[in-house]
Amino acid sequence: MFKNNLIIGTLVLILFTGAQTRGWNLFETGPGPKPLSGNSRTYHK
Amino acid sequence: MKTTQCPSCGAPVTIRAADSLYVICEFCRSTLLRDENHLTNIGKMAELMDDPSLIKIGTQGKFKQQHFGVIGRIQMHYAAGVWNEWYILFDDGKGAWLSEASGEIVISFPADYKGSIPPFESLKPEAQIKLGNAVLMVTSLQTALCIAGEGELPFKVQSGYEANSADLREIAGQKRFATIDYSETPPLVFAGTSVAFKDLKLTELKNGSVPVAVKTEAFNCPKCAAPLNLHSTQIECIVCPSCRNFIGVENNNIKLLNKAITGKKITPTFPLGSQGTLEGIAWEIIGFMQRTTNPSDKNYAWFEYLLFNQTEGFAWLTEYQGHWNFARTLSAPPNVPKSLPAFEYLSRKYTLFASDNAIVTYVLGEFYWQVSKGETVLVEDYISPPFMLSREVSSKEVSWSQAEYIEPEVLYAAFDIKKLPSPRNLVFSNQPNPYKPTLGGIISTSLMLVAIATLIQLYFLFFEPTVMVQTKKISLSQSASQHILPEFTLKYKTRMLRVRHQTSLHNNWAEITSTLINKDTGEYQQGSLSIAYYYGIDDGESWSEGSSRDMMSFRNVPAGNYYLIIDAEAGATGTASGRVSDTVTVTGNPTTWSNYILALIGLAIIPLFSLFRSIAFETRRWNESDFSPNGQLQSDDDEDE
Repeated sequence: MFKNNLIIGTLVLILFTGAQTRGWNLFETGPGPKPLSGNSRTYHK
Repeated sequence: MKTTQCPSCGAPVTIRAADSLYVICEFCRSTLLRDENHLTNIGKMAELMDDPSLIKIGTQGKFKQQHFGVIGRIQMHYAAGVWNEWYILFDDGKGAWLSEASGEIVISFPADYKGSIPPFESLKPEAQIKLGNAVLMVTSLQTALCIAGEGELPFKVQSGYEANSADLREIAGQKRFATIDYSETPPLVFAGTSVAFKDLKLTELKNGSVPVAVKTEAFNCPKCAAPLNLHSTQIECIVCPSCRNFIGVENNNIKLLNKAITGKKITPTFPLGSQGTLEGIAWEIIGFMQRTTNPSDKNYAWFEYLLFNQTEGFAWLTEYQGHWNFARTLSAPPNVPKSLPAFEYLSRKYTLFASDNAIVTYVLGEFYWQVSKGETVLVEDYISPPFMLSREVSSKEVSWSQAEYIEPEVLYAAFDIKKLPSPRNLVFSNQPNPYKPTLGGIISTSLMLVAIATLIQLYFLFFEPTVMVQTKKISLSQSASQHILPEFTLKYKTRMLRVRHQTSLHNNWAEITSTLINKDTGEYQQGSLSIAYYYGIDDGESWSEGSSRDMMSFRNVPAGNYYLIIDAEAGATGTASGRVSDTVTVTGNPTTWSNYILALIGLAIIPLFSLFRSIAFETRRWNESDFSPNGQLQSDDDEDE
């Protein structure tokens, strides 16, 4: 488990650094079509 | 050293100690009173029991760097067995006693104690007695009978002489020992220390050296004539493996003690006579018993195997549902009150795990006390995995043993048992948590990785900071419209160019297409957004859907001169102007925290999983306990659940 943690942790760091360098962001759209933002109703009391 | 003649048989009698009062002739067994240089015969001493002890008259050794020789011995018998008291003489003329009982060796010196001593009848096991400045705990109360003696002794000794004695031990971590001998008035006090056989560096032993093999004495069962072996004179009882009758052993005489154990025959996992080496010591299994806290439920029963080694004495193996422990009696037990939730012993914290009466339900083989079915003692187990301290309290004795968990595979290999170990279905009280050793490493590694991720995030925050490129407010109408934003220059390659739209949409939508055009090369990137924001009241409840703002990003934009074209179209506004405002904000290299948060979540998965497994293991362990980890007794309701 210790080795797995080290390997997976290192991969996470590489992915994180790559994402920050290339400007990847899961929560932000890039160029290209995007579905309508917000397609479900939220009810407020 | 002086040599004179025995007045009874004329054989030479050697006197080594100046203060020896009595000498027993080794040829005719006469007890000789010493007066100046004369010896007077005052009677015959009984024969000594044949003894497997390696020590003999003439054995030499060292205690605290001081050389001594063994010059006399008395053999004592008490309820739990037989022990030897060897009289030893140091080079400076000081005498002391070396006692051998149940494999433990104690060297005691007469103490010049003049204070008050409580009467024997008032003492109970675990009672505390103050002798001078020392507070000692009563560990054993015995009425001992002198069987025989030999060599030189500092007092008159006769066979059949009976004396009450109390053994006392000092607080944990110290091996100081005291004995109060009530045979005289006032009682005699002896102060001693528990020592290991090997630390005494004994020479001139019986047979010349330490024998490896255990010598046994063979005889036949008086009931069924099955062949039986006797490994030590300390053995008091044998339960015949064939007919299961209890046979008492006293002075090498055997007699039937109790009727055979009825009921289902139990076959020990490790047969009697199995030999194996644990912690570098060769042991032989000579006894087997089943004990339980609940005779009506076999799930509460466990097995104990008595191990014997000629120099080390006795030890135990315990077996419970596939879990094994190797246990030895403690010579320096902890001094703690009954049912204390937790205490520290030799730098380890022990926590109370179980407390119950243990009842003997099945016995086979040899034992150093007269074991019987139904024999009951109060047992308290304190755990500090892989160790466990067990206190056993009877009306006359309190004893502590320390057990260490042994992996079954290791034990089976040590005793050359070929069959596969039984499966372990539950977590045993002192079973080491297999997840704990790696947990610390996993957490520290993850913390290190989190620190690196934070440094990377800080680098992007401070060395590649967010740059505001431009902000422009535009109007969106129901018909498609195009807006060309002012030209801007990117001096360096930009990893992310973010375009944020903050609109004034109300129950409306907008389709926005952004085109980023490199003025120098004509290359362009394009992206679209659909923004919609609706709200209202249905059945008296307000609701909303979507958002009036959104953003998109262009990635890896090279340095150069750019302009941004916004093509937009909105739905019907219902307003007089028919227009929707949109504030367009363009930023370069915005620092995103979402990736950092995702990285932290990724780095936490394995440590959290490992922590969960470790906690689950401990929960399973404590589910088997009568006590919670903080030492509080669980209610019956909890136990029933």
